[in-house]
Amino acid sequence: MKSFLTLISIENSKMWKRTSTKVMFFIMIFLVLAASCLLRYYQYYKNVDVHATPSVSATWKAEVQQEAQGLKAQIKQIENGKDNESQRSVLGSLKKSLAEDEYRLANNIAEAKPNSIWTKVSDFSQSGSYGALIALLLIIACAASVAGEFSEGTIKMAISRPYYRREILSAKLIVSLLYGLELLVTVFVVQSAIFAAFYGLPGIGAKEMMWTTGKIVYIPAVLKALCLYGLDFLTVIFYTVLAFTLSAITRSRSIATGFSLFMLLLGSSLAQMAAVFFTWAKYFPFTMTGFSSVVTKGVVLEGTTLPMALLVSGIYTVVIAALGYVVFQKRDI
Amino acid sequence: MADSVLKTESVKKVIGKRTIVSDISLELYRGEIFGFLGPNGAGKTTTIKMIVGLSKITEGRIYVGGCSVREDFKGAMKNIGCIVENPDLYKYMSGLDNLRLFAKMYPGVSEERIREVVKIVDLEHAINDKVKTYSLGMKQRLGIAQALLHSPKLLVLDEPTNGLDPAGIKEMRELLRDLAEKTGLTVFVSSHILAEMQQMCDRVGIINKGRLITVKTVGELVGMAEEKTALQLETDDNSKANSILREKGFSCELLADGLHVAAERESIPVLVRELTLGGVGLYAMDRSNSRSLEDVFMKLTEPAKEGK
Repeated sequence: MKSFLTLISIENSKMWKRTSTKVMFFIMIFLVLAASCLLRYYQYYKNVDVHATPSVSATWKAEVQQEAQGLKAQIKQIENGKDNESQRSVLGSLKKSLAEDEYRLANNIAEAKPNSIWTKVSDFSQSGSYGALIALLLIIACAASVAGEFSEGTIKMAISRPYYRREILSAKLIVSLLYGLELLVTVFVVQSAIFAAFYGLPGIGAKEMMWTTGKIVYIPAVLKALCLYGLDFLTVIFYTVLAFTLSAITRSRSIATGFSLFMLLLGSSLAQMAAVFFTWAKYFPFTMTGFSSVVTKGVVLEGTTLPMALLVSGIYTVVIAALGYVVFQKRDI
Repeated sequence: MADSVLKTESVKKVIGKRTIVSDISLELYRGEIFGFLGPNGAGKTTTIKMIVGLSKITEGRIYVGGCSVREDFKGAMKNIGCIVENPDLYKYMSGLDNLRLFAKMYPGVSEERIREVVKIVDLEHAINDKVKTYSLGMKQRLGIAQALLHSPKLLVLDEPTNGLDPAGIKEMRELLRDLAEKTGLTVFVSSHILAEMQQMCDRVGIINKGRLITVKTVGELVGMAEEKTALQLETDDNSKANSILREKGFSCELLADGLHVAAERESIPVLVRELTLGGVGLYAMDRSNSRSLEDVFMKLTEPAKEGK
């Protein structure tokens, strides 16, 4: 075990000595800061009073009740309709809104969203697609670590050592994922810090509703923020493992990076489009990888839930990783 | 045997339908420098890759320091330091960082040992510079440094003198001989350049078309070359000399640069006597050994072309 930890420390040093690793890290921080500043400037420009507590209408209950009725009717109409595949993709989002409304009515929650710094952080991170950005950077880093060593020729120096190939490969994967974790934590901290600087610390202990595709849970907003970041990390793991395996198989940084990126950006939507028309297509690998968007916007594919998405994607991750290991161990270098 | 550092038993490598090497059986002992000699494409690098775990062994066994490469990979690799093809190191790091990284992979390699190895390969002045600034010779030397870090029993070098200038080649030769003598290091070095092998190695294994043709000591190989010596004569009447010697049964060839005669060592005094008796004045007689060694090599590697 000690020797494996040594391998991890070696791969970690290698990774951080690459200029691209350091550059990507700072680019991410810069993006968070720049985007936040832009938002703040926009609010300043439009004379938005950011410190004002949003008011709640006295008749909120009636309004929410009305909205809930409307949603129920819409859902029923779509569910009973035939040949309306494209309409059905809205169902998930409608069901989420309905659940939120019903929960509010049942538990007497006046605000749809609390005025909390954590809510601001989650919303901004989600709309800024931080998860996708970090996945992108990790794909690049992982391809450099695995395929890059093939093209540089240094893989020979790594393999002709008293270590099994699977140990070396595992160390590389773990170090890449560790980098991802470091990025996520840094982004969370930087985002929270700069928002705290702009908006103070309203609603630190506030609670927020979270949709889990089955029911609503009412949890501290900070916990929701962490959950969303956690779900994003799981998405990142999926695409990193994809890049990892492609690198091990093709030994080409360009193919591994390019294809993984393509699947990250378009794969989800393409697969989902197919799944809208062919229900069995929802079991394809890329259809259910956007875990956090399932929580914030509802499911796109009828009949899928968050636990199901996690399970199916989890199985695919393991299978894809195993493929990478098998090919790497068998081949001549 | 206790002193056996590398042993290969009928090693075979097949890729798809092609047999790249077959029936390679060698044994190397402590403190010797073994040359693996063969033309390009003979299978030298393929064999080396199997020894150091880069390629899978199709058939046969390889033992390093008694440990089987297939069954006890870690045990075998602990005893090997190698450079395969080019010495590819991490260009974006300094030479010292590279060495520190490789040192971590083995227990007990101290900072002191790293410094020692840097001194052995004479890279002290450039060790803190990034490897991308290194010349080829410097990269070769850094490659040897990383191979020596953990004081292995066996050093495997794949055409280490490729791209080195004559001074560099001489330095490497002296370094390796020094290490073999003083520390008992065994060196397995492959090359296609005879002259280098002759100067550096104790024994030589000749490989061609994937088969091991023969294994001899350098002395034996040179001896084979000296059986028939090629002489180059410069006389005051070359054509007369040619007819005299032909009459006596010498195989001669009259060329623009002199009279070429193939003669055994014992018959050279006879040759000189015949020329003198025939009234031919002898200005110069040169022996071309290196050409003979090349002939030996060519002869040894030719029959395999006819397929065995």
